[in-house]
Amino acid sequence: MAAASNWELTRSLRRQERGLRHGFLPELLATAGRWKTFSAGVLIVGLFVLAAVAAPVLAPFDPAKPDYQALRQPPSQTHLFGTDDKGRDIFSRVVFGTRVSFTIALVAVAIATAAGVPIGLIVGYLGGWPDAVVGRLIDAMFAFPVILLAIAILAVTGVGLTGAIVAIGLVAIPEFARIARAAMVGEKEHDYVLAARAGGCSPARIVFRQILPNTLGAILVLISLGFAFAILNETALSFLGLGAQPPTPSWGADLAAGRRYLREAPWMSLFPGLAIFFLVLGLNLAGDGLRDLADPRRQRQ
Amino acid sequence: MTRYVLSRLLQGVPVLFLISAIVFGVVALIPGDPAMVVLGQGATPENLAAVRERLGLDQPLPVRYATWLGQVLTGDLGTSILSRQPVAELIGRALPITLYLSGLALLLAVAISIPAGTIAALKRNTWADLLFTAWAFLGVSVPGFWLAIMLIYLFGVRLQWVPLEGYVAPTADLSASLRTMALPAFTLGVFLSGPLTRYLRSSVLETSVQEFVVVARAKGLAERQVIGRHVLRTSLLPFITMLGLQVGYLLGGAVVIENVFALPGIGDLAVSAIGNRDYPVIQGVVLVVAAGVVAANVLVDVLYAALDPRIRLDRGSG
Amino acid sequence: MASVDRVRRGAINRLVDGVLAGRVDRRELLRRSAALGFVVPGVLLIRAAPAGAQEGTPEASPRAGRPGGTLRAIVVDDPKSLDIQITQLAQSRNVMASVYETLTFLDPADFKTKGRLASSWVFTEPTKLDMTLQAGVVFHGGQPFTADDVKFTIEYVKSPQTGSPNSTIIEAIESVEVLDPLTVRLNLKSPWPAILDDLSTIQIYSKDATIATISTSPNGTGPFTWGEWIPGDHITLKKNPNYWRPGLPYLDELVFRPIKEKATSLAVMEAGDAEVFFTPELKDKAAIDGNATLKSAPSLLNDAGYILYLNNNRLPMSDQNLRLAASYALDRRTFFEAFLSGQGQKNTSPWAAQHWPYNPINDTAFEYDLDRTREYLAAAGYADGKSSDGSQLTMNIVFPKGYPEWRQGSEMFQAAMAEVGVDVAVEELELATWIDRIVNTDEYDLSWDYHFQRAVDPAWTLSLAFFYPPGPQNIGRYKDEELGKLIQEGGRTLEQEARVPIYHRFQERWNEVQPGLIVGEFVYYHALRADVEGFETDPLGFQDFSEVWLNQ
Repeated sequence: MAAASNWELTRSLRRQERGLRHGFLPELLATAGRWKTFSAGVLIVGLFVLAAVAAPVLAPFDPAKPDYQALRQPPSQTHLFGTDDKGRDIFSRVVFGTRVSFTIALVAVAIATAAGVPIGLIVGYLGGWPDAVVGRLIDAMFAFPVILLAIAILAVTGVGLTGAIVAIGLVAIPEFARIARAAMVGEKEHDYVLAARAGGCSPARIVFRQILPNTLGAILVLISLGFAFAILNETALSFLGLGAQPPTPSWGADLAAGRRYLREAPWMSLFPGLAIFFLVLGLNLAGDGLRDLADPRRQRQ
Repeated sequence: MTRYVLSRLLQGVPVLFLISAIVFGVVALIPGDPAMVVLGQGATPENLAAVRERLGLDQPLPVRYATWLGQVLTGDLGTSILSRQPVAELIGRALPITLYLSGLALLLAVAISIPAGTIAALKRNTWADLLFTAWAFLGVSVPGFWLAIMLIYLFGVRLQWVPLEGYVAPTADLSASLRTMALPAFTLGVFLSGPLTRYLRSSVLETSVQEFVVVARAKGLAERQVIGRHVLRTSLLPFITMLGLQVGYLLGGAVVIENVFALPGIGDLAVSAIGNRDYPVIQGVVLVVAAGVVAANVLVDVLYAALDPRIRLDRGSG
Repeated sequence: MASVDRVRRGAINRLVDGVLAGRVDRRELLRRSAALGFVVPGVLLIRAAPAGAQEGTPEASPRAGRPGGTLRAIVVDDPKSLDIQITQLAQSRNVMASVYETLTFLDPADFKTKGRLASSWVFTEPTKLDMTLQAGVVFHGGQPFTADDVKFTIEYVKSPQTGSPNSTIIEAIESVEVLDPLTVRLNLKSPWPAILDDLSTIQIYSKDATIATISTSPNGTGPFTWGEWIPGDHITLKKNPNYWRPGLPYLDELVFRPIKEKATSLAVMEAGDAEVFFTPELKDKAAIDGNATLKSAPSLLNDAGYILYLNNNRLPMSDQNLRLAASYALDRRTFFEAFLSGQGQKNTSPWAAQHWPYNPINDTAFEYDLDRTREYLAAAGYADGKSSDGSQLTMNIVFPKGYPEWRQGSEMFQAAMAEVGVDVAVEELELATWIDRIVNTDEYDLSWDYHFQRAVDPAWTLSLAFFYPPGPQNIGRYKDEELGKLIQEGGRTLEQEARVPIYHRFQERWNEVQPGLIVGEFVYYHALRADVEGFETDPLGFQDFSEVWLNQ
């Protein structure tokens, strides 16, 4: 699914080549009044972060504790989102599920960033055969549906939290590398880089002190949108039974469990799915808003 | 141009080898083998060994890969370990279903996003813009498998408007076929229409402030003509290129959607082949899918070259 | 059979000793001991023809049905292989049983073994079975059915190159002789009357079959011919116009559609888009019975259940106290009530509660009781789930994909164990991985499986599950001298009254040491549309459609 974002990201990068060369922060401050999309997104994501942090306070029930006297009850005042096939409170599970999704997505994005961004920056700067080799490798990874690759990786690592993190992180690396490379290629021909090079700066210094700060905006956008796709991939894998294992509350897995009871208890699938939807929506709004803020051309429109 | 396309296609060949080798290695690392799937938990070591030998699984991994590669080079994708049917035949049956699903989804996405993106751009900052932008955000944010289940619940279980299962070939019964494909294609199309709408919107916005459009307006052309002949036509070219980039996504999305709707497409074939450790089928699917994506990428590159902005500007002002 | 001579008693003793020494497979033990006349009552007696000369029962004439129509049957998945000698999957059996035929078959209506491709048979000697074959039977490909086909098939199954799991079933056959085109002689290794039952699972191939043709264009003598297979979509079988049993089959066409999602399958049935749905979920039986357009077809043999293998090869389950702790933490009654809508019941015995060997101690054995679990944990040195050095007690519970009730049962067990401080990892595995873990690598502590043959002769029960000591196929690998002795004694003893105390003691001992967890029993069933007639649920899964018709 991550492939859908490629063009958005590539495109935003092209804009940022133009928009960000004068510095990210000043632009940001100058457009403080036009944060609508961004702040809507941040607000939604913030609510989920709050839910993750304050889960034990917010959740009225233990998410893992079954109650066989209260099986598949429809939403009520006691059970806001109803109960599942084991009598567990779905609201509590959704609230705690936030933690699992965040954990997996955060670590996976960290892996993808830590591995993909340096690779992309370095080969983008070096050019030549390293660029060609890595380019082929990335092409190879892209030529395969992400979810199938993740399924194969999980079959090797074994299902579970760690496996899911590794799989989602690994499959996102090519995308991160590609975007970082594009940012570098766009940046390195600029005057200030040429000047630094002429001034005798070491390549490492040029990359990390001169260029990196200027690609930061692009990378931030990449991370926030990458996060949204990590969440979608995580829930898709959990939906297929390959993510966090019971009794850990997991949106994708709970939603899948509800599928069997769709006729009797549709709320079992409804609410975990809504949670995924709103969190991803928030992340997309925030990422998109960030990009708008970072792109003066777009604001003029 | 032909040389460029050929060289790009040739560059795709090592990519195919690379990915087939990677997948062969990854799949071989998975515990269990097809002999176990065939024999079940009552398998004794002797039975397992006999079936493994018969299936050629007793050979070392590199030998198996080399054998497979040799076959592929002669145009033979091998036979499925489990069903013993030719892999090419299995793919030949599954691929049209995926293409049919993807095609319908793409059609739907285009049908939604062209008017939505154009109107959103032209009526910028109105309720229409807000509506279509909201649609685009909903589209990219909704998890496909969840939307699928909710649609099944609403239209299949509650309203009983559409059949719940199975696949009817369009050649067998077109209207029944479209009815079974309505929900899967909609689910996949909705997701796709999100980014496409946003892309077209910003593309139209960008085009509409470019010089040739301003000039056209200044020349006193009617707004409809400006939009139709200049803005939209110019914006649609990169939009079409954009569609080519969706091939990888379409196939990935199809894996999950085919699972939910039990459609026997290429995603379903791949997932069950991984589950059964049916190595020749996995390899065949990977090769065909990767080749498709590589070809689509080349197509996109070619289109990009053909639609270089400078060419576009020349055409626009001339 | 009432009097047992010393020679035979000596023979069975040697056999049993062979089992204990690991030389003889327990399955073989039971086959041979039954051949010697020791395994007597129950279904096995009804099924097995007595040793000596005996005419086979000619088949009863079929009931009248209305010809015509297409029957659509929902199977859970594609057959993994069309070679029915290789695969034991239910969906393969359900499909292929209409294409091929067997020499004998187990009539699901009365559980008697009757002739199909064999018209009659006679034991000319205790080790020589001469079978007369039906005349005028023709394969779908046009070849006449002869003794050569029987010889080919049996040799194909027995060949190590085939790797057929059925080879152990007909292990008793030493060789096959063709006496004339319609007479075949089976030479047995030792007297073994139950060979007639065994043959009811061996589908006869044509002698010119090869692995390629078997796997792509099956050629049998059955009531339906192979049509087409579009994997993931459907398998079509056509009426065999030259079928040898007059007037059959009634149906023109059989279409099998694989639908993995059972909820979808049920909706398809309710919408009237299929006539048969193999093995719906137990939880949905009430909904099916309550629907006027549907009916359920339970297996008449009440013999299915659930078990949990315990891995006795490693800690924690090699510790008896921990096995008992686990057993008390398994809430069997809630499992059936909450997840299976009460379709089934707790039963900690290997036998159905109505079956004569059942020991009533099981009525109240292992009722869910976490206090007992705590006691056994403490006795094992794991008070509150921690050892004296503070290390956490953990275990895993595994099961293959596609069995949601096992997932639910596992989560229930996990939640209960969490209350007493034990960490349980629930692992839903792909089929191939699951088999690898429980057969090859032993990386499991508990594993779900079905438990069959709970209402047959108790000696047979103890021989057929992958559960009971001793034997190489015992997945949990628990060894206990007393249980082994009781199994022998039960097999050696003739009179039911004398066997009852032996099997009662077996259950006491089983409950004392708990080598595995027996969960409970259920009756499996298929869902039919109300207008499907003549359908008898086959207890072995070889569903016969020859006499099925649509009452429209």
